[in-house]
Amino acid sequence: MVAKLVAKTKGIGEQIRKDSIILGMMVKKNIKRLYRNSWLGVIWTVLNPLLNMLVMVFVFSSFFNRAVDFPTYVLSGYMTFNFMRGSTSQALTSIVNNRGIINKVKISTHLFPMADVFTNLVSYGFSFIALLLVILVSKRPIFLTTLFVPVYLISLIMFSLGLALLLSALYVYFRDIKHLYDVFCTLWMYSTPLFWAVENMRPIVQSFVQFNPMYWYVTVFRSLMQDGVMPDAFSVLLCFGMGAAMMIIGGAVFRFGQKKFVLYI
Amino acid sequence: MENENPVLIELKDVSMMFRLPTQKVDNIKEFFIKAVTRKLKYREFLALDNINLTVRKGESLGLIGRNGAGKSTLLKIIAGILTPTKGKVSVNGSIAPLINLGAGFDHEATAQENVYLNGAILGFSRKEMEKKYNRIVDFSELKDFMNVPIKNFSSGMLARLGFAIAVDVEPDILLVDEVLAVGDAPFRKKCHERIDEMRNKGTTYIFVSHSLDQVKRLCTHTIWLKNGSIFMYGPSKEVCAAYEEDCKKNPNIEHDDFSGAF
Repeated sequence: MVAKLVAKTKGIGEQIRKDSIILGMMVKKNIKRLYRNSWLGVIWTVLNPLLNMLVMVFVFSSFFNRAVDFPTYVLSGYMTFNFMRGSTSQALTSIVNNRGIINKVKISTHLFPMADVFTNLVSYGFSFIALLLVILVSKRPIFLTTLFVPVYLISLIMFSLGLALLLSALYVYFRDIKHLYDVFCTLWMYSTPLFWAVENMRPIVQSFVQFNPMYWYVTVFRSLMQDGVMPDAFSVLLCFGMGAAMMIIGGAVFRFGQKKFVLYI
Repeated sequence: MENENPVLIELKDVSMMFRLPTQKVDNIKEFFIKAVTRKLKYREFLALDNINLTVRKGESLGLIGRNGAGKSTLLKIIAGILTPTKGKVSVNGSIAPLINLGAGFDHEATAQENVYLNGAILGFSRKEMEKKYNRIVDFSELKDFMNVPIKNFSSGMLARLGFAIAVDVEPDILLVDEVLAVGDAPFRKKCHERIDEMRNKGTTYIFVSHSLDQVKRLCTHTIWLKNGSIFMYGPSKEVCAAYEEDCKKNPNIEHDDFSGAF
């Protein structure tokens, strides 16, 4: 009885060791591919968010009254949303696109959406460097609360991973969600205060925006990076609660759909 | 057949039923319209019907049968890629599957990346694979192509790479599905020698082929699958002879067994 349990735990441990090797390899390969054949290579990972931020500052700064820290405001919101959008929309097709592997060997299929989330986490890390640069250049302080970003990130990863699992499993069965999700993400982006501020909006918009999960993730991140204030317990709990809920929903749907992936891809 | 070696693969009453939609519904709109109007129709197809199979360590097993007899499905179930609708599968030991030319390949990645990825899937870390890497490249004779994305590979090159990886990771069980058919004659010879070598070392393998000569040469026992069931099992020579006879007599595949399922 005990021996059986020990053997089982050992088996699971072995599986996790194996899976993490595969995951590491896939992430590395993804990043390499992202900048293959490009002249500046990895520098693009920092340059890309910076240039995007500049465009947005250029376009939107006239609508804005807090002109001084607008670059920080935009970049912090933009990179948070982009991490979620990038990981979920890439993960969406991951099961179907890796049919060549899934069809031929036994592999834990959840590794594919996971690899996309972690690939985006690496890009997020580079955007974070860009953000620190922007803060320094605009002569604003880097607060001690920055140290709490890794903790906050866990909740954002949970949310994105849950959604990534959900979408990748659904896409196997319903191919039109790719187009729907694309459109939905654009709508979602404009409904999130990335380059507009909630305070400047009508009361109805202000109450409506609270139903947008990304509003909370963006706001908590900004309070850590921009205001140097610890976010209130409610926001933090909400971020982790939404992350956990997404993981449960996504995980359950993925588990359910997983058995028949091979037959549909 | 009476040997006392440990059982590596055991299949008990394994059946595989495919539910094929009569029209392919792969978007939400159609799914709902059809679900509401009750037009979601499926055709059931029994690909494997009550298969019982025991493979012991050191056995070499051939798998023959007409197209659509269930050979690949059986191999995929043993490899753990497909879960059977009914029955129990237990496998003790590491498996290296070579199904449809090569193992799990990422076609956008280079051959080198694929070697390491395949190694990882089979449970080997990067360090462990580094020791094997040169041998794999030598065996596949693809030295000049290792930095090429394998989407540009020919089927022969893919088979070479897949085979080279699978034999070098020294699995307990090797599953081979028609891989050798695409290689050229010298490569095929090299593969045969390698398989002989592995058999002498005690590796178990299951070998699917339409080349009866290959099966007779490489496998001591052979299974003849017909319409999803084991039609005949025995020493390769006898089974192959009977199969050859049958192919001559009935050149067309009999489909009467599952036409009732439509």
